[in-house]
Amino acid sequence: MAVTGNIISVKNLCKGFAKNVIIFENLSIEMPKNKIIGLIGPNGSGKTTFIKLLSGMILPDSGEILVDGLNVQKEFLAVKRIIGIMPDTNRNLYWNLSGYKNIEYFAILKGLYNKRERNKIIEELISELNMESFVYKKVESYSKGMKQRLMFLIALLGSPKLLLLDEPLNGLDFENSLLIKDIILKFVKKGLSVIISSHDKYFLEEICDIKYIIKDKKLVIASPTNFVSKELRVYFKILDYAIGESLKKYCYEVIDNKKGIYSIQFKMNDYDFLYLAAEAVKNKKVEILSIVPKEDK
Amino acid sequence: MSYINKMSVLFIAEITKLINLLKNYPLDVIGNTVSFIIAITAIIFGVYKFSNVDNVENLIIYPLLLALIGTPSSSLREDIEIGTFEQVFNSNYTIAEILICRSLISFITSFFPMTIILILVRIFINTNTFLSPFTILLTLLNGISIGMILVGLTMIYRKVGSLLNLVYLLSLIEFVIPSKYISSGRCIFEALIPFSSVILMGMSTNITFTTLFIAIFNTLFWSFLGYILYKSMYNYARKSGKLGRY
Repeated sequence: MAVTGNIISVKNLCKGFAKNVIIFENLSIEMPKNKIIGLIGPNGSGKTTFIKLLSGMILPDSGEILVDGLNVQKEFLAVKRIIGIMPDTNRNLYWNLSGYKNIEYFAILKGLYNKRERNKIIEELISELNMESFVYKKVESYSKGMKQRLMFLIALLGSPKLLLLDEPLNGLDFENSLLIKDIILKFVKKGLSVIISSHDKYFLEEICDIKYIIKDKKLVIASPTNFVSKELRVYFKILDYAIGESLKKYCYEVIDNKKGIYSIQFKMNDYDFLYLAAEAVKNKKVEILSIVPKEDK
Repeated sequence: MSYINKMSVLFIAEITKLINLLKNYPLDVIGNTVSFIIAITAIIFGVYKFSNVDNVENLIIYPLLLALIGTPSSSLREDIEIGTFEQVFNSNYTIAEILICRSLISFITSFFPMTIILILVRIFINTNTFLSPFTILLTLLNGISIGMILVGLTMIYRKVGSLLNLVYLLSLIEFVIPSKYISSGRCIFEALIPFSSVILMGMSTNITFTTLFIAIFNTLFWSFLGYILYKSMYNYARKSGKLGRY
C-alpha cells in the first residue's frame, strides 16, 4: 500500500533544557510517509528528546510539529491516537502482571474497546511475534528480549500510523532482532511509517529508507560515511564437517586444512551468514578462534 | 462509542488491573485495611469523646476523602517509578481521565472498610445517621480537586506524600479540636481549608444557610483552583521536560 505525503513536518523547532542546554535550534524537517526513518547520534544528542517531542510528552519552546498533518500542541489527543511508542527502557511494563494482562490493559488504553475485536487483534499479534510460549507468564520472569518483544507488541496496538521505536534492539539476541526487523518491514508494507532511534548503525543501515544524524542541533541526512559496513574476519575451527559444507561458500582462505581451520571475511550486515554461523556455534559444529577487523590483517 | 461507554471500559480495565495487582500482595491488602479501620475508628471515638459535633458518624466521609485525594498522585508516581507512565500517557485517554477514574475506584473500594467502621461506631455510639447525596457530591468534587493539585505537583516534584499528610492534618484540626478553642477563626478555617466545611456540614444535624454556603463556596473554590493549578503544572511539566524524565 503506497502512501504519499509527509508523516512528520517540523517547522522552526527550538528546544532546550535548563540554562544553555540547547538540543534543537530552528530545526525544520519533513519526513515522508510509509518509510522507515533512522535517527542516529551519540548519547545525549537528542534522539529520545526528538521522539518525545513527536509524541507530545515534551513541548517545544517554539516552532511547530505536525504528525500526519495534525498539530502536536493543538490536536494532541488526535495525535496520540495515531502514534505507537516503544520507549527506550524495558521497564515500561507492569512486571507483576502477565504479559497478556499487560497487553489487554494497554489495548483498552489504545482504544480497542470491543472485547471480541480486541482479543482477535491481540491473538494475531502474539502469533506474529511468536510469543505464545511466554505471554501468559508474569513479566518478572521474562528475559530482556522477551520484554522487548512485549513492548514492541504493545506499541503496535491500536493500529498506529506512526511507530516510534527508541532503541528497539536493546537486549535482543540475533534471532529476535531478525524477527523484529521482519515485523517492521511487514507493517511498513501495510502503510505504517516508522521512526527508529538506535546506536546500532548496522541495523539502521540494513532497515532504514532514510537515516538522519543529529549534528549541530539539527537533523541532517546521514552520509554514507556514517554507515560504512564494517568488515570482519573470523577464524574458526570446524568440529563437524556437515556444517562445514554450508559455510564453505563464505570461506576466504584455508589456514590449516588438516586441523580444519579456516577464515571467513564478512560484512556485519550479512545476516544470512551471521545466522548460519550463529547456528553452527550454538550446535557446536564450529569453534570460533578469533574475530578481527579486516583492516588489521 | 459514547463518552460514557468509553469511560466505563476504562473503569473496568482499571478495576481489573487493580485486582490483579493486589492479588500479588494479599497480606499487605489485609494489613492496610485493618490498620485503616483501626485508625479511623479511633479518630471517630476520639472526636465523639472530646469534641462537640453532633453527628460523629459522618466522619466516615473522611476516609473516603483520603482515598479520593491520595490515589491519583500515588498511582501517577507509581507509574513513573515502574516506567509505565509513557505508555499510559500515550493512550487515547487524557492523564486526568485515567487518574480521576483510579481515584473513583479507590473511593468505591473504600466503602468496604467504611462499612465495618460504621458497624463498629453503631455498636458503641448512639447517633443519628445523616449522609446525603449532596454531601457525597461535594466530597467527590472537593477530593478530586485537591487530588489533581497533588497530581500536578507530583509531575514536577515526584514525591509529595508529605504535602498530602499536611492536608490531612489541617483538615483534622477542624473536627478534632473542640470549637470553643478555635471558634473565632472557625469561619475562615472552614471556608479555606480543603473539604473541612464539607465534613463539618455532614456532621451537623442542623444545616444552616451559612454552613451550606460555606461548604459550597469551599468546594467551588478548590475545584476552580484544582483545575487551574493542574492545567498549568501539567503544561509546565511538559514544557520543562520533567514529564519525560524518569
